[in-house]
Amino acid sequence: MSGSFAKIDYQLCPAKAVERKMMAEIFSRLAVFAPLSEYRYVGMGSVYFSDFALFHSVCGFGDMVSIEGTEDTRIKRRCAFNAPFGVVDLHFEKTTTAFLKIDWTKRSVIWLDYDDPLSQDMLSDLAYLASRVTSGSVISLSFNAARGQVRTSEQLVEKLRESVGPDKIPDDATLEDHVDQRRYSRVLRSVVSAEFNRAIGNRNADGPPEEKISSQQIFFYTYDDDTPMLTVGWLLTTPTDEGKAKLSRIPEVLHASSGVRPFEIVIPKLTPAEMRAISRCDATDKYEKERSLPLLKEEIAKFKKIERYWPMARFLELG
Amino acid sequence: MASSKAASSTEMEVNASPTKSFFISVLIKDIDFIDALIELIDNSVDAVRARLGDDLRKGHIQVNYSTSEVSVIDDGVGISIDQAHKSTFRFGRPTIAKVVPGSVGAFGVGMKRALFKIGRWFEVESSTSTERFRLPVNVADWEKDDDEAASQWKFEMATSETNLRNNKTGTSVVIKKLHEYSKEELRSATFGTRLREKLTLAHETALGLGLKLSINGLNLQAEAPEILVGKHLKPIHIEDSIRVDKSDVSIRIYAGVGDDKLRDAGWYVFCNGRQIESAEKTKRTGWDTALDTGDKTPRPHWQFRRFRGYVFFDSPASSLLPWNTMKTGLNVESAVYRKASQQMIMALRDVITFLNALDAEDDVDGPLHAAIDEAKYVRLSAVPTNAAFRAPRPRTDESKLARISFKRDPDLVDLVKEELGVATNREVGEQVFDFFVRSKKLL
Repeated sequence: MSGSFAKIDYQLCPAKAVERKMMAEIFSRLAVFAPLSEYRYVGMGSVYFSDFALFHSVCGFGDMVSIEGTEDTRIKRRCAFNAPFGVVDLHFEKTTTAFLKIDWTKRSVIWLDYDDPLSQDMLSDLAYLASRVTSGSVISLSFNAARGQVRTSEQLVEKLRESVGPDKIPDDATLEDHVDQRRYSRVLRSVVSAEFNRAIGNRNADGPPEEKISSQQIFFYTYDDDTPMLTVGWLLTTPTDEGKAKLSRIPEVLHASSGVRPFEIVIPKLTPAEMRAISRCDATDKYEKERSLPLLKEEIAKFKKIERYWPMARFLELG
Repeated sequence: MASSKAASSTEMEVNASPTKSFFISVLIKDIDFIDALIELIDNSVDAVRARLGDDLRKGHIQVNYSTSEVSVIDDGVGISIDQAHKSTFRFGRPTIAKVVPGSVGAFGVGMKRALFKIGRWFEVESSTSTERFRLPVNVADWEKDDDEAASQWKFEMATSETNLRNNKTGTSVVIKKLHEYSKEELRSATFGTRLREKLTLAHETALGLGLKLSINGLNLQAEAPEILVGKHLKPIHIEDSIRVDKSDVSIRIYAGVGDDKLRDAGWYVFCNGRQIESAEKTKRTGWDTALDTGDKTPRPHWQFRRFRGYVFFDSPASSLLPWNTMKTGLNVESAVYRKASQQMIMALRDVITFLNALDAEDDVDGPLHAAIDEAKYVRLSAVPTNAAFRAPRPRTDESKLARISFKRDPDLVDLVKEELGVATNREVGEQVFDFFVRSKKLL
């Protein structure tokens, strides 16, 4: 989180922009639980509020909370200046403090959108939310998944030992000796999943059956704008809401993921003109026209995969 | 294949029942002498609470000891003859037994284990308003009688009377023929102090409710836990309720700061008023896991020495409370604790954030140190509910601040001072400035 204001203009991170739109599509399906205007969105708006702007316009969340742990007056003023629509409640404090103050009996969509590598603090935040949020809520967690010097399972275990502690290392960390970026991301997902499930297990311990929370992972994205990132999200429901969860049909969304395989957001190296040309190819003349384009098939396929979420007008504020 | 006649069931059975002396040795193996004595006193506290409820001013428990005899006498509800017959003297609590709501005794082994631990002869005498019995046991005789199955084990009453009128209630437990280790402990110069300290901590709540608890004639005083509260320093106080196994357990969490004594830092955990952990600062209360401060070994560092956390679990269903069978520590596996621990960890992290900032504040006159200096100790019962720890923001680097100086009519300045409730001209200037910034919504 710290200092990210200076580094990253979120609007120029294309994969992140695609991810946001994908998340918005999934969040829209929560309307089976309650009108989205009755949901609260809790995020970390930074000074850009890209997620707030998009989710407010696409999903229509009526109540939005942005948490920013800064003490810097200028940044606070920038946050206040940039907060869109006048519906964002700004909390200038650590997530720990803010979470303790928020009333979690209201259905919420939460996005812990960190720029930093996974840490114990993030796991604690995640576990706390899993222990508190109400049925029909979504918790999402993003963090930097750059593997640095890690190439072997031994190095991976050592790295996790330092970052999250020896008791949080999942069994699959040592499954294969060679650790590439893909494996690294999957193991990190295991770490956060295990912590999330542990918290849900604690929450459910010997409680009344009607309050028993079941949870399902609804998305798992990986992408790389200038550094590898990953995002995992879960939906929490009580037995009374399980029918609604089924009705939402979130798992049928193309980019939804309930397991260890991420949806990899890969940005094709294409010019806007090329993208427009691909988009113009409709089903009937697709083959003919696509073939006539001076492009590699793989690049076309990459674009097709994210086409609907590509921010065509990405310099407009609404993404 | 040769056929064989099925043997009768008794021929097939082998004797696997425990001998009494083996049973006793296992039973008392894991309890200390001092904890055994405290078990007996716990039972008395329960009995007095069962008679008097929440006003214990008329309750009295007398503990007396010498190297030849230990006794615990209370004026609680007493044990009825029926209870004595069916449950009180059984090892383990039969499912039919009634449990005093909100009681400390929950597992049905405490009293017997304690009696056997302390000595080789004991006598329990108890009276309800209509009944009275006396039950002496010479352990050596009881052990000798070892030919019966464990399901037939019994003690015998020496006397029992029924249909009494307005009988004074209470229970007296006397133990003699003390074990050598018991005598050694009792002879120890520090035994009295240790016992008093443990009891004061364990029965904080009952003593606070007016219970008179005397040891060899000396009354124990209640020491209610306190935490620092100030104008700019507000500890966390969360009240919550958890439903487990169809019963409710209420939870009160207090987290904040106290004196800078590492020894006293940590969590204090109470179950139905009995303290089961004090200054706990291990993984069991979230320390190792919650304190990732960039250090590779997140442990209760020196800067966390001011942390104080208090958690009270209360429930009529005392078996649900997160204590171990000896009621001397946390049972981290219990459902209630698993549910509550996440809130404790969050509260701990919130206060630790402040303590890290305090540690980073070089200037001892800085706003964080000042907030602690002006704070006063307040009894937990007087701390208002508050979801998150409140403290001043750390001051930004002094060298980056701009200085403003101006002069005004001293009478007016005094008036403003009074209005703001501050003592110095500097504070007047700062607060008036901050007021302007807020009212113009500049920040």
